Amino acid sequence: MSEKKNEYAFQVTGLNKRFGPTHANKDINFTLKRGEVRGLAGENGSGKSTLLSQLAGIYISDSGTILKDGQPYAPDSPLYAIEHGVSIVVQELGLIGNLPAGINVFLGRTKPFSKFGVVNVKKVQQQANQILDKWGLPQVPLHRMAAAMNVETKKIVELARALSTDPDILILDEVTQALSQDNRVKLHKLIQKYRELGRSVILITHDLEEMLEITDSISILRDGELIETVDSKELDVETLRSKMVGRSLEGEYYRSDMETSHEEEVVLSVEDLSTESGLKDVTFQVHKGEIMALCGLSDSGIHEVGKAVYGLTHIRKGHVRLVPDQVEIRHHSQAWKHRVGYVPKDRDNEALMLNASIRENSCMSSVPQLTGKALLVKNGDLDRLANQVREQFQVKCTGIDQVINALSGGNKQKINLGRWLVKDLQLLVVDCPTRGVDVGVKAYLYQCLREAKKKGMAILMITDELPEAIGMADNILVMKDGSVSGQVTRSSGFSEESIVQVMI
Amino acid sequence: MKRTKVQLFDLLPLIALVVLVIAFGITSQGRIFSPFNLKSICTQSIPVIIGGLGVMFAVAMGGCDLSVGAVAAVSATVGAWVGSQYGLPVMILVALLIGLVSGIVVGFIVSRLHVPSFMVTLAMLIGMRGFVNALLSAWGQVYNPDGLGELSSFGASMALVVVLVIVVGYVFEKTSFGYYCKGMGENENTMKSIGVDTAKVRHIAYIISGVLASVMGLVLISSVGGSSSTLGQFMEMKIQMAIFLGGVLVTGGIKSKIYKLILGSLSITVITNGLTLSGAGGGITEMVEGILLMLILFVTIKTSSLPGKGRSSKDKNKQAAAVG
Repeated sequence: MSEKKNEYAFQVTGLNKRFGPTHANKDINFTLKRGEVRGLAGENGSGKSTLLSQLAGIYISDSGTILKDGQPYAPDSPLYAIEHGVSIVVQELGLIGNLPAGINVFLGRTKPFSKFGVVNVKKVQQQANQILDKWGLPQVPLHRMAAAMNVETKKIVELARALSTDPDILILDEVTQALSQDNRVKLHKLIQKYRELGRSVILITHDLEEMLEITDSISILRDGELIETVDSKELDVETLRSKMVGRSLEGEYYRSDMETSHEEEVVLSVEDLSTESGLKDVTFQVHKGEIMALCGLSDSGIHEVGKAVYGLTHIRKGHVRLVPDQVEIRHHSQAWKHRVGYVPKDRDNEALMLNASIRENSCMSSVPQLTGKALLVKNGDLDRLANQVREQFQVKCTGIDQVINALSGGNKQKINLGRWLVKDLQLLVVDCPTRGVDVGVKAYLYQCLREAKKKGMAILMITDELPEAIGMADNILVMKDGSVSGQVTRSSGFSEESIVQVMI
Repeated sequence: MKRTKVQLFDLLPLIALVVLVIAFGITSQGRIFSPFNLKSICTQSIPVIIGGLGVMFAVAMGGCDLSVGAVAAVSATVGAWVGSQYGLPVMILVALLIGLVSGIVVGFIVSRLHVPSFMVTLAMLIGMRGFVNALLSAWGQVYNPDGLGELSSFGASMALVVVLVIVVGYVFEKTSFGYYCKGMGENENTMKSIGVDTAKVRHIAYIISGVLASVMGLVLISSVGGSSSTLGQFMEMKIQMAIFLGGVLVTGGIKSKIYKLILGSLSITVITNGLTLSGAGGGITEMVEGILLMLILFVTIKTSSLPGKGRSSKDKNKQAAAVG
């Protein structure tokens, strides 16, 4: 009988995928058991996302066979995959901005909710809410347009969409990156539930600690080849990291010293800052050569602090002062003029001009410095600076004329951060600097931030990843519900437990 | 580093112009190439180029300015009325002042009050048109002051357009201000999060557009001798078409270039001129004009989305989200 339970959810043999001359996936073989949670680890461009897309029918495989529950499974479209119980949450945001989130959950499947072609939006939202409830996900405003939501809420809507088909294999491509600590915990519980139900999960996350914690086994990919699959219990972060890169990483990853080290001079002084975006009496200082990390749960307001410090939101009460220049920042153009930089969290929508070239993206932040007499900006100077960014930050590209959207996430982020680091800044505000970036690039970006610190730059690092804050910061400011709930210094010893305690 | 790579997309407006000239050269049996006609093509293109120089800033940031034709009419009409009493210099001054004020107002509404530029400038177009008609019915005939005719000689207007192209072209192509305008067309959020005062940049862009609209008004009225209700009519459409014909994208961006405006302006003039010389009647001319425009724009947009140029679907989101 075909109903005879097969032990394996997936049996993949000889899977190949080429994009023109690029051999993205070479002869992939692996098996996935029912109730197994599998992680895929590898650097950017190692073929992880491609493999997931092949399994979910987004890309059609060139050759190879897949058996699902012992039956042939040949996904040629996401629809096919869904019909066979496979759902994916993709890395890039895939929502229709001008539709309410509720509709997005059931996109293309609103027929049961409609009468005479008119969709009963209320019913859709109810159903979507039930899904969120069932899987222990946080409630989101389902009547709001998807475009008006932040990255995190959008991700939850996408999760609900994937879960709405009740799949028995759930594929998650870098979902946790967009989530804050509390929602990550909820997702982990969801994954645990899946495991208990005898269903399977395949996921990618760049947070290796997290991957080790929540997966049963990890498959390591390198240059499109599946090198090996290892039991998660047998791995630690160090070995996993070196397995991914195929060599031991040079230099340190995080800081090795355990001392708070910065100069006496205060660069940024935030006093009683309150905004309409929900901040309440936030007070803190950042010194020259200090890395100050801001941590908190999803609605804690850490990202709003970054925006407010750079003058991007209206300040209702309080002051943001640049102490050395004795100015108060009220507008972003002021912050820019006074040697402050800002790297927003949403790289593709807020930071980069995706259709413009690497040159434009690298230079825009330095235009005032490149502007000469009569407002002249020389093309030669633009080229020189762009090449400097490209070389200094080892951006992999065909040239500075290449459209930035053609680059991988890690290389985009190198430019996004690099264009500020080439400047002589006194303060840099970075919001989730390593979101969606693999270990190799991550290590490199940390090194860049360390060097900037050494040169005396004050860095305000907003992050959703606690290990990152613990690994890099001199001081960690913990926020809750828009106000500061505690501050920990490096010298006193950071521990994840104690910080999480202050967060909640 | 020298940039030698020239993309098809950038050459397209030139190809379109050459094809049009050759095609109409054949259908008009060479009459299009007569010195008199070439001169008239230039004369007709000049106001389009001058007005377009201002509109380019708005288009580069993904907006538009439909008010230029009406602003030109108002400033020229009021200027001529005042000028016929106080002389030519006063006329020029008053006209420029009206363009400046209108630019300040439009710019304020678009940039500070965040009303999409399409709506604001469309409303301005209707209002200003009505204002011209009201003025004309109040004043009766408005004639140009003495001396304006001499200024409108072919040599003088050529000199004017050359100077303006150089000056405005410099601002657009070579200055930080122009760079910001184009950057805002690529992604306004980027410019904001970098620290550019986007509201100020946008405000200034519409002021430039207003002033150049009044210069266009002066050029237009100088060639007809006095004001009328049709002065500058449909110029805004002609200019927008010229810009798009030249291969500037509706979303604006880094690839917006002044040379594209000039080529586009010549193309649109050649189409009307060539059709007339080829013996097409009034009604037919406009119909064929419409078809040709659609065809050229189709090809332009097709080439702009060739692989490598990739304008992704995110653009549409951006357009929807961007104000103005």
